[in-house]
Amino acid sequence: MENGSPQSAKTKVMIIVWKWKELTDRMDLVYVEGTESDEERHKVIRVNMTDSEKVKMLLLDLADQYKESDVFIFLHRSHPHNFTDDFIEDLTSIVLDRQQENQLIKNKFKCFLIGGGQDYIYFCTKEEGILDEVGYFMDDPEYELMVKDEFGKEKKLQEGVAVVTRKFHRLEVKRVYFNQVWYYYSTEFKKKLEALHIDLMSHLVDLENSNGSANLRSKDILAKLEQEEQQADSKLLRIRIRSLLNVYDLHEMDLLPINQYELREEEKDKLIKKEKESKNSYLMDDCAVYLSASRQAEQQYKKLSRYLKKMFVVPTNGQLQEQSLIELRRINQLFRSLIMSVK
Amino acid sequence: MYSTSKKAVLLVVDDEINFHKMLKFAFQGKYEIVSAQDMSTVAPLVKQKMVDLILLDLKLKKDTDFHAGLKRIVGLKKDYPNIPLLIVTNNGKTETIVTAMKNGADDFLYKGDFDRIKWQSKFEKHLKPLYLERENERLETQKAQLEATVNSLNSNHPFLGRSEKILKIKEELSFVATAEKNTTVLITGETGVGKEVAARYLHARGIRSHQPFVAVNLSTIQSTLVESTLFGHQKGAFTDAKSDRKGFFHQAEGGILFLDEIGDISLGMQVKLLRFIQDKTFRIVGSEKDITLDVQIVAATNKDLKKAIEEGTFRADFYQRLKVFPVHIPPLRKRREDIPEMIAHFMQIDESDLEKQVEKNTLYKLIHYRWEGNVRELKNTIEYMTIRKRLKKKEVLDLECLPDEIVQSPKPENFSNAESKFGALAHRERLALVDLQSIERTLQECLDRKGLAAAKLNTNADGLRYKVKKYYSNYPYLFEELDHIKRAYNI
Amino acid sequence: MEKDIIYFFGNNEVMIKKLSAYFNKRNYTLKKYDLNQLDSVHYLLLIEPYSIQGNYFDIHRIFRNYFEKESSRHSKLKLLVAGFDTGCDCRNYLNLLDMPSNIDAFLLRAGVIREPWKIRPSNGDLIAQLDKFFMGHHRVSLFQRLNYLQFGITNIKDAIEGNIEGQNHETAWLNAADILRTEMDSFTNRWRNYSIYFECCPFHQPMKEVQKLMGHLRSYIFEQSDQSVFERYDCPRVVADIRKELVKMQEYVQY
Repeated sequence: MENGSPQSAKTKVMIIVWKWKELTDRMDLVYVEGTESDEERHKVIRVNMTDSEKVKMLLLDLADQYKESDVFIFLHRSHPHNFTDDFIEDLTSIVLDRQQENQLIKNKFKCFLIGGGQDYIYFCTKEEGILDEVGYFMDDPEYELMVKDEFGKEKKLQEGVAVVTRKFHRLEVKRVYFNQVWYYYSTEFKKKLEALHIDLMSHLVDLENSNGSANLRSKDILAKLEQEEQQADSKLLRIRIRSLLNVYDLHEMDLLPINQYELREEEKDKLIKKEKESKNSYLMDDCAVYLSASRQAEQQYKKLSRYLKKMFVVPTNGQLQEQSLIELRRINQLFRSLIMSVK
Repeated sequence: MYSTSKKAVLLVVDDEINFHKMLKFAFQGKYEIVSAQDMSTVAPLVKQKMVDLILLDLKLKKDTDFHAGLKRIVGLKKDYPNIPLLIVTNNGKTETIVTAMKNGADDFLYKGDFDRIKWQSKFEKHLKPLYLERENERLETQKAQLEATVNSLNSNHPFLGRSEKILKIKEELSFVATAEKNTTVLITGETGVGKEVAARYLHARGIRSHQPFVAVNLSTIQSTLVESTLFGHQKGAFTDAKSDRKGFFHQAEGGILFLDEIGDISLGMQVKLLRFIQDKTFRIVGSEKDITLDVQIVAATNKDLKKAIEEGTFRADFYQRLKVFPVHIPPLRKRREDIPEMIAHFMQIDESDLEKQVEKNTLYKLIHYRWEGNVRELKNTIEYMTIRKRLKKKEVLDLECLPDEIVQSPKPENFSNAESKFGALAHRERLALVDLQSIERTLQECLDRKGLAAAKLNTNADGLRYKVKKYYSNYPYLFEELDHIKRAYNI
Repeated sequence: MEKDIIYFFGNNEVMIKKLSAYFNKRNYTLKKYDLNQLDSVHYLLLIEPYSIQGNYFDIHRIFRNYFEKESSRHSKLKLLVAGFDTGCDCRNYLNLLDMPSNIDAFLLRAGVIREPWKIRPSNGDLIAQLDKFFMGHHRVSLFQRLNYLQFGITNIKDAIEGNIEGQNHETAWLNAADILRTEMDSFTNRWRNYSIYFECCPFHQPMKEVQKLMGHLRSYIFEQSDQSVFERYDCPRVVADIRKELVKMQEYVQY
């Protein structure tokens, strides 16, 4: 298999969960092309279930059933009754705890929020994913796609695009598409953190004043971020940082009011719009939940989150002003440590 | 590459099927490539195929590390120290190769450096000692065979014939010669077909070829003396036995005793021979001691032994013992395609010169004569004709050299049978005959209208005429039965 | 070679702008380095990390390996790296969060390509990706793929030249077609999956040449499998040239 994505002998399972009330509850399992036995074959499980508790029970059962496998769960984000952060954090924590008990900590278990047809898992985002815009497997014989071949020649894919194929009347996901999606999501959180780190540092750094301890006051940083938000090529740094913050950090809840840094709906919409335009994934909510639950990254994440929150504290007196002095080198270091700890 | 009749056998141990496929193609005709995709099949293949060289891919897919390959080298060298072991690698890393060589590999090949000539010369380098050994063996065998031939074929009677029937017989005789040294062989056939020649052929090819071949024609020995002639006698065993004498069995010890005209011996003698065939023992006449000798019996007869059994002159049990391996040599008239070769042989000329030395119609007569005396009669006839040719100062053997009975002989019984006629013809003649028969049929269909026939045959009247005349000038004897052609073209 | 020009290679547009202003102010011009030319220059500043499809990479090691191997042409080159690794104290490292007080002194102090200076890795290493390109995920190396292309093509050549008893182009092609098509597809797939990484490699140009040669080979294998096409493109030579170039490039992909 030559697809450029890392391979391992471990079975990979993708579970995609929808909560369409209009559809009946159901679950179907689709194997990925391959010569292995069904048990060892990579799989995609599609679930439609409206009751969140039932979904959680089912996902815990599936996680248990596939405890020897790497499991990625994709939860539909944009439905009115969408999955809450609590839900994801709870699910992730339970599974990771069980993994630890069974000494399966090398297994991957991640939850991703998807929706709106703009995430990588959707074919239309980068013409590499597996789902069409409404969430079925991309299997459109009418879809006319112009692609460049490896020699730069533009050619039309006459046959349409199908990420699934039928083998002996059984639907199978084409391996190449499955692997692409898996590879992307296996590093998605890390990539998002790296991108935010580099974008943030590049924006904040002042080469003329960066010798030694370059301390900036939080209000200056906020001003810079707000200014950046107005630019045409803005990368929405301020909103991205807010989406990463650990809102429900009990340790800090007494110190800082949540509403000062919690992502508001209009900010989320702005970010989602940006994602659609740039075909990049910016929203960090699922990443934040994962980091909160992750055994390896939790502490580093909390440290970074607490430090970043300082940016959003509106100074009211001299004491707070003093607290809000922010050192770029410290942010840099915290980001780097967190990135290093993310698997 | 050293000349050797047997291709060297290369065992390729690699789990990449494509590698086997590519090598088989590249070295077809040069080597026999035998494939093993894992180690489990190596041992049986080495044994079964007599492998001369092993090519081993150092790293098979299931290997987790490089050491598995090294272990295989050590194992193979231990099991087959005399078979050259060449390592094949997918990378040309020096350290890999050095380690492999240290562990016993004789040489290495890098797949990325595939060049047929280079690879072949590497194989040859390691096969050279094998070839030398094989060449020595071959020369030894050749020498032994020559000695055996000189020993056994002191008569100048090769087993002539290339007809399917004779080739099959030769194949069977070669088989029995090498397969079972004690198998009794019964050769049947009319007088003069070459039964003794066949027996000698068997002897020369067998494991007894270094041992004597003793031929006895039992019909020429007085019935009372058959036993002592075969088994020998002690002094005083009978009136004329003035001294001890060893019989033909002793003379043939270790070799073959050819008993011609076995159908002519008495029932009593049959019992004694039966005993020998069963137990390998006999008694010298006048002795009470059993003697065991290693002699293979090849018997021959022109008689119908089954009929003799019915008539009570031949023992059924003896017959059953004799015909363990029966060979029937068909009469010459049933295998006329052998005749040209025989004529050439008896004239001591090359077969390709036959048409120059024997006039066509004469050759035709010779091929189609009845030859009731078979090969012997043909040989005598050719000797006679050669003398006549000399007397008549002829350049070639022609009708004038033929004995009268052949000149006046009626058409052979199967003359109209194209099959039979066909078999005796040379290739070009066969083509001509096929063509002529087609013309004959077409003329018949067209009621001898030459123009119409020519059109049907995709030619024109002149072209057809030219063709027919040309055939006639070359092969007049083919026209004998082609009445429509002869009529149409005034032949 | 002008000493007041600092060539750069990177794709962080924000930092490029800031560095450009920074150097301008100090009488240096920041100019983009052209990987197609690979001119001999005094200073080449690599801006790290380099982002490729959302992943961030260190690229200095692949550049250093390349210039070291080609040092005769680049003996005076000072390879500089700009980045956010505040813990790196290498004399060729421009710490963006702790810029030197005197850039002239920094440039003077930086080591030329053959001198012993070392920058610690701080992002994913491009060499790791390129190593995967050459060695494969299952350790089925790219050269292994090429080996089977070479086997097939060599057999066809030998058959055409009458070196294989009773074989000709047609029979040799039929024998090798499946293997050639499978291996060529595997080879091309791997190429396509990794070609994005070649864009920021100093051997970007020769890779384009290899790609052209692959196009010739593909024409023969997938489009017109005729003897005339085989001979027109000189397929055995194409395979040999591809291997030659790739072997050379793999030498730069060393840790």
